[in-house]
Amino acid sequence: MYSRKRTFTVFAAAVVALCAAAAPAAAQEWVDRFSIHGSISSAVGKTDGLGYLGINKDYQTNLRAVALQIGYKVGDGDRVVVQLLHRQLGTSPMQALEPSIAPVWAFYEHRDGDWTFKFGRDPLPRGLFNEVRFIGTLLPFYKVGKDVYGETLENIDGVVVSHRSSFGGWSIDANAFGGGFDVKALLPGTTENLAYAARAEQAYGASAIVRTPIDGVRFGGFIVDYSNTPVSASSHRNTSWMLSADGDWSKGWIRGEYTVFTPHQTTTGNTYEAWYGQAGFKFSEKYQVAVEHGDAKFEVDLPAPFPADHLPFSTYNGVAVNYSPSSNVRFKLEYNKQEGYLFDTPVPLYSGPQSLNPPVMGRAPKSTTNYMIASVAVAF
Amino acid sequence: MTRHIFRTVVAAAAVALCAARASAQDFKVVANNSVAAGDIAAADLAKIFLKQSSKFPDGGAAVPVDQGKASPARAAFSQKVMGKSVGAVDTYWQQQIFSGKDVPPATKSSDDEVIAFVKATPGAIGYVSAGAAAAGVKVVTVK
Repeated sequence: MYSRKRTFTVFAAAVVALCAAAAPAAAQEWVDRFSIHGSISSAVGKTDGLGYLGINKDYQTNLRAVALQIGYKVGDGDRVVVQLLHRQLGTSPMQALEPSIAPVWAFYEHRDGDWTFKFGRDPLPRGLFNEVRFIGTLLPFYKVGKDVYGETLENIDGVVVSHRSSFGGWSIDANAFGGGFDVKALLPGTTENLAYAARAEQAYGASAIVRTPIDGVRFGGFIVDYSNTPVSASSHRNTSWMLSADGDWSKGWIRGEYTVFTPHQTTTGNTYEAWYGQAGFKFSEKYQVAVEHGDAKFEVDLPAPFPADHLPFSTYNGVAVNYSPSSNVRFKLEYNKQEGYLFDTPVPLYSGPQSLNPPVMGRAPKSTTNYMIASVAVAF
Repeated sequence: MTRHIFRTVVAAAAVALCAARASAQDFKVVANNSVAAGDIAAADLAKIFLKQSSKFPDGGAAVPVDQGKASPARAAFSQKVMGKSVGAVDTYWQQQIFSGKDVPPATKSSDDEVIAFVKATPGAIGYVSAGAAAAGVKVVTVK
């Protein structure tokens, strides 16, 4: 309820700002100042067993991400941007947290030379794909780095200050930000897995992407420190950081990203860490093939006397073939193998005590599902 | 017979090469008369059209204007100045747009529209077909 109210407030404020900014302009100039862009990514998927990412054994067609971006140029260095997002997540429990249409961005931007200031609900510059994670024409798989990006830190309600600098063959896009953001995750349960939603506030962080003199090679980092709500004197702080490296050339690419979430709290950490590596070969501008491997671990609290366990809850391998008749259209066919302990429905996590001295809890065997996705993405 | 085929292939290759060279040079860069520079390095011009720089090397404000994606002048300009195909530049702009960073330069659908825009807009810079009339604007040499 609170989230829906905040979403409406953000959207209403953005619409009012758009109208107010637009009012004085002459009719033709008014039209020229608008920019409208969109992206549609739609998929059909099927697993051979357990449901995963909203895909099950039946052919799941309710998989979509539609983004519509409207911008208005207020002046030479100022603009207002709203981006709306509609997503369908098939049979995923996460669908319960997804509004029909969400204003993922609604910000006012002021640019002064190499400095850019964004106020409102801003895209969060995190890693290589955070802002474009639903723009299918830019991604070789339907979902890229799924355990690294997850469903959180998608945007930030607050301020983002960015600066671009160049020296020699190097250039740096640096950002500092502060505000609050939504946290969403799928948590394992006994009878059903739970879609968890919370709010992070008092978030402060920075990020940078460095482009090297070697053509196509860049690397970067991201860090944020935040409190879970409700914020109180006893609330612990949490830290998340991320490292990224990317080499993208005319014939292929190789990239990888690694992230960690660490709550600074009491006895155990409940640390989450994930990484993926991806490589691809471009046969031409139209045809390419990509492979991706990823791993994620979560530190699970166990009842005394058992120590916390770093459960390897996700390991996957994927291969995808892409066909792009133009830069605005991309067809993808992909095969993925997913192993671990977190699917759309519960699977056994532990088999029982393996020994009591020293205390060791035995893990259940990893569960597995194989799935295929055929998708098409269009952008304008 | 073999010699005849060989001559035909060589002649065809020469024609294709000439056509490719003509295509690569089939544009000229035009700027508003307020723009001081008479020439500009390709790298600086690319930064202006990719909006990585909002100024000319001499510090004056730059307002780039593109042509439609199907324009032969745009294909030649993209390849020679930016070193990329029109599709690769379009992908770059998708990344910029959907990262919330920027939108592409204004697009005009013909040489005449580009000339009119450049003529009327201080700091404007664009490109037109090599044979287009450039009355009222200055032609800038790409180094």
